[in-house]
Amino acid sequence: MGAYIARRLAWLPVILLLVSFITFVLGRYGPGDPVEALMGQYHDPAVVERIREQRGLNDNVFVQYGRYLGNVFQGDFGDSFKFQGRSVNELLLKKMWVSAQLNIAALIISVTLGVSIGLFAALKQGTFWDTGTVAATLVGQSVPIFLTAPGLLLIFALWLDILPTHGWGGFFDTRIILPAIAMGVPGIAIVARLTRSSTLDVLGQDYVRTARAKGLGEGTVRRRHILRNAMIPVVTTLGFSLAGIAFTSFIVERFFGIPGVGDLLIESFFARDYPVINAVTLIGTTMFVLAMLLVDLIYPVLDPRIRLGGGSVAE
Amino acid sequence: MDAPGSNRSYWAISLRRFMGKKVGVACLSIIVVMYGAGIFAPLVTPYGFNDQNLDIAKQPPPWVGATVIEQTVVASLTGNRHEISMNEARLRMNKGQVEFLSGGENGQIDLGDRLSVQISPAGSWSHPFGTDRLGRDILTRIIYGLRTTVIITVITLVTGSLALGITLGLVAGYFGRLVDAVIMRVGELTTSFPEFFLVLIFVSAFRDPIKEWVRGIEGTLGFSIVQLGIADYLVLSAALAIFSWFGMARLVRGQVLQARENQYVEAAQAVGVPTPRILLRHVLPNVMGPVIVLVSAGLAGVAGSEVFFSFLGIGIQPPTPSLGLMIFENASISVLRSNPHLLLFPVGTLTVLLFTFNLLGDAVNDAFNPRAR
Repeated sequence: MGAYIARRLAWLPVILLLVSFITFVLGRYGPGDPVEALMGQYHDPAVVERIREQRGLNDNVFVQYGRYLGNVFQGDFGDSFKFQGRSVNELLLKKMWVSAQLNIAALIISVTLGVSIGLFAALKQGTFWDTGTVAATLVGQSVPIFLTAPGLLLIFALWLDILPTHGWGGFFDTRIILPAIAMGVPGIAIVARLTRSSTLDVLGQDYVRTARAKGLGEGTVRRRHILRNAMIPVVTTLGFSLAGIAFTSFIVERFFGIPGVGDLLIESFFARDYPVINAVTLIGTTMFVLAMLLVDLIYPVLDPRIRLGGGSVAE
Repeated sequence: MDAPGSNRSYWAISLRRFMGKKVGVACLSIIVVMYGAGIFAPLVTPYGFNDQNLDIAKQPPPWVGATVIEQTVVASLTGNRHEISMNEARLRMNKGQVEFLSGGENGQIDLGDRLSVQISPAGSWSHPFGTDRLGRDILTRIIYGLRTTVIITVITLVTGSLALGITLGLVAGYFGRLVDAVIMRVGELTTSFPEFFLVLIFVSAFRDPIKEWVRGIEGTLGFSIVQLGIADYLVLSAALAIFSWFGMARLVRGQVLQARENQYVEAAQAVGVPTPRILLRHVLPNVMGPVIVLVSAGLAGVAGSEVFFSFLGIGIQPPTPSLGLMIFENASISVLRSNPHLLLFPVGTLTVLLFTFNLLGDAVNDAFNPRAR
C-alpha cells in the first residue's frame, strides 16, 4: 500500500515535467510564430529580431523551458497571444473557479443522491423499488451528456418552466442546479450502484446483527455500522469513476451558457493561443493526478484496518 | 473447420450463443443499418451534405406545420410598408409571408390589430428530419456524420486496439523481462495522464503537419482528397489510438502469460517452430475471445470520444459533417425553443448509437467470454 502510494508520488513530478515540456516545446515550435502574430502582417524583420532577443526566444530551448518553469512555479503563466496584453492568470483564474464550482456542485449531487438512492435500493432489496433503481442506474450510467443536457433543459425549463436555464450566478444561485444535475447523472448512477452492492455486503455482516442485538436504534445502526462500512469501496472507486465526468463540464458550460474554461479553451485552441492551452493542460493534469492520489489517501481514514506504510494488519 | 461436428468449437458455440440473444442481434442489426447508411452515404441520400438552399432554411420535420407567430401590433404603421418594429428583422431573414388577420386593405393595419407572421416553412417528406439553418437536409448530414463516426471507430480500433495493442501485448507477454517492463511502464504512463489533454496536445501539434502530408499525397495522386476531411480523420484516429492501446495490450499480455505455460506451446518450441509462428498460430487464437469482448466494449467509448472532441472543436472540422459538430452548433436553449429539430435529431441518433454499442458489448461479453456463466 505504502509502496504503491510512494510509486504514485514518484510518478507525479515525472508526469508533470513531461507534460509541461511537451506543451512548452509545442508552443515554441508549433505552427505560427507568436512574435509575427503579434506584429501583424507588415513588420520589420529587424524589429521582430529585437523582440525575439528581448523575450529570450533565441536562447536554447532548455534555457527557455527552465525560465518558463521558474515562472510557473511562481504562478505566472505568461501572457496570452490572442488577448494581447492580458496575462493568462487574469483570463484563466476566474473561469477555472467557475468550472471548479460547477464540478464541486456536480460531485456533491452525485455523492449525496447516489448514496441515498443506493442505500434505499439496498434496504428494499428484492422489491420493485430495488429492481427499478438498478435498471435506472444502468441507463443513467451510459446516457450521454449530449442527451442529458438538452433533455433537462426541455423538461425543466421549457415544459415545466420551473428552473432558470442560462448564465451563471455563483455557487449559491439557482442557475447552477440544472447544469450540476446534468453533469451529475452518470455519477449518481455509478455511486448508487456501488453503494447498493457494498451495502448489501455489509448488511450480511455479523457486526450489524450484533449492533441490532445489543439494542441500538435502527438509525444508529444504519449510520454508524452500515453506511460507514459500505462507504469504503465506494470512496476507493469514486475518484476513478468520476474523473472522466469532469471533462463533461466543457459541454455543459456550452449548453447552459456558463462562462467556464470550456469556451476559453475552444477559442484558444482555434487561435493557437499556446500560453493558455499550456496553462490549462498543466493545471488540469496536476489536478487530475492529485485527485487520484487524494482518493488513495482518503480511505485509510475511513477504514482504520487499512494502514499506509505497510505496517502490521494485526489489529 | 467446416466439417460437420466441428460446431463444438469455441467460435461456433460463442456465435450460436450470441445469435440466441435477441437484444444482441437487434443491436447488431441497428449498427449494421447505421454503419451501412454511413458507408454508402452517397447512395443512400439524394442530397449532398453541403447542399444549401436558403429558401427552406430551418424547415421542421414533416409532421410539424409552419411556425406562425401571432402578435398584437404596438408600433404605428403607415401604408403597406411593413415597418413593424418587432418583426421586421425576422421577416427579412426568413423570407416569411405576412398575413393580416384584421385591419385595413392593402396591408394597412392599425394599432391593436393582430398580426400573424410565418417564421418557418411547413415540413415536408422530402426532408424527413427537416433542414438546418443553411437549408441543408439534416438526415443527410446525420448519415454523413455517422460515416465520420464509422471511419474514426474503425481506424482507431484497428490501429490502436488491434494492431498496436495486440502486438505489444503479445511481445510483452511472450518475451517478458526488459521488453515487458518497458511496454508496461510506457502504458501506465499514458493512462496516468488525463486522455483529454493528451489528445489536445497531440492534435494541436500534428494537425498541420498531417494536413501538409495529405496535400503532398494529393499532389502526386492528382485528385483532391483534402476536402473529404481525411486529414481530420487521420489526426483524431491517431490521437485516440495512441491512448487506447494499453487496455488491450495489458489484456493480451495477461492471456499470453497464461497460454505460454501450456504444453502445446512448449511442444511447439521443442520441435523448433519459430517464435512469430508460435505467437500467431498457437497463442493468438486462444486470446481472441477476450479480445473481441474488449473491442466491442470499447466501441461506445471511441464513438463518444469522437463526438466529444468534435464538439470542442478539436476533432472533425467543418464542413466535414460530424454529430459532435451538429450538436455544438445548436447547443443552446434558444434553438430548443424555436427549432428543436436542429438539436434533437443529432442527439437522438447519437444516443441510439451509444446505447446500442453498450448493449452489444454486454451481449458479446455474455456470448464470447468463457468466464461468463
